Amino acid sequence: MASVSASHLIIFIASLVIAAGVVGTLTTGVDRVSSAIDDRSLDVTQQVRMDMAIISDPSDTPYDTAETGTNNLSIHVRNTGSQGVPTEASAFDVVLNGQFIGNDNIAVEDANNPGSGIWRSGEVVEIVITDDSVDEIDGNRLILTVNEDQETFEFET
Amino acid sequence: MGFSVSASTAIIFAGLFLAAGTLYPAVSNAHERVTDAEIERTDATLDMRNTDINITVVDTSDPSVGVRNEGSTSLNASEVDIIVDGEYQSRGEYSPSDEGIWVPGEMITFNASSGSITDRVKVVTDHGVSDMEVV
Repeated sequence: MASVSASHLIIFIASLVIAAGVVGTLTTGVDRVSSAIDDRSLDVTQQVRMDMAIISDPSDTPYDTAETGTNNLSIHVRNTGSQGVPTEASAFDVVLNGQFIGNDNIAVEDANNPGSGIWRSGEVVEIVITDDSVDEIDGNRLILTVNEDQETFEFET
Repeated sequence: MGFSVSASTAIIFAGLFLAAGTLYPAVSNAHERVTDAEIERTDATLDMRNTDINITVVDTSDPSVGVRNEGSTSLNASEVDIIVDGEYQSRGEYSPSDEGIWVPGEMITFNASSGSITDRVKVVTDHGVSDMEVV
């Protein structure tokens, strides 16, 4: 009789341990999914809020030719979205005439408030691209991507 | 035996409630956040479609640009960007005749104290709406 009670007790404890294990695994999994959904929604929100317009004159974009020794192409971009973007080269992806331009060759600065660390809505930034592949006779094509918002700019210097 | 099943079922149900309690706020916050952003984008697109400007007068020697708001939205005259002959003019360069709200139908003149306009001028306002004039 005593052995029956003991085995019942063991089965009872074992069932509790298994149930607790299942619940533990379930809540951990759900917790991970919840924080992933949270992060993803922030990303999507940023992408939806991002919008910009390249306002430079496509027929006469300032480009310092090789004679001056700089090869600096300067374009101005206005933030037409509803969020700020850090004015850092790493936030801007530039492809010029099919060539990706590395962060070392891009300088970004607020055009009206130099030194401002954030490119706010309605503000304009100047992006200076140092590259010698700019075609000064025919046209050029520049693709600018910020927060997955892409703008294409076809211009002559 | 019967009590073991009841006890473990109770634990699993409690766990399910706990999991639902964690998941629901995350999903509803995420949804609300994205919906807010989408509403804002839709509003901005509507405003952009309702915005239109037209350059009416350009004085090349004593540089000034007269621009009329021909849309149905009010714009901000202090946040207008002017590009003269390909060169961006910072906002202090060309001062508007009337600062602040630029109502539909109103004409505003942007005057510069120095320089000249030789080739073309481009005016950009809210939402990236622009107009260009060759002089």
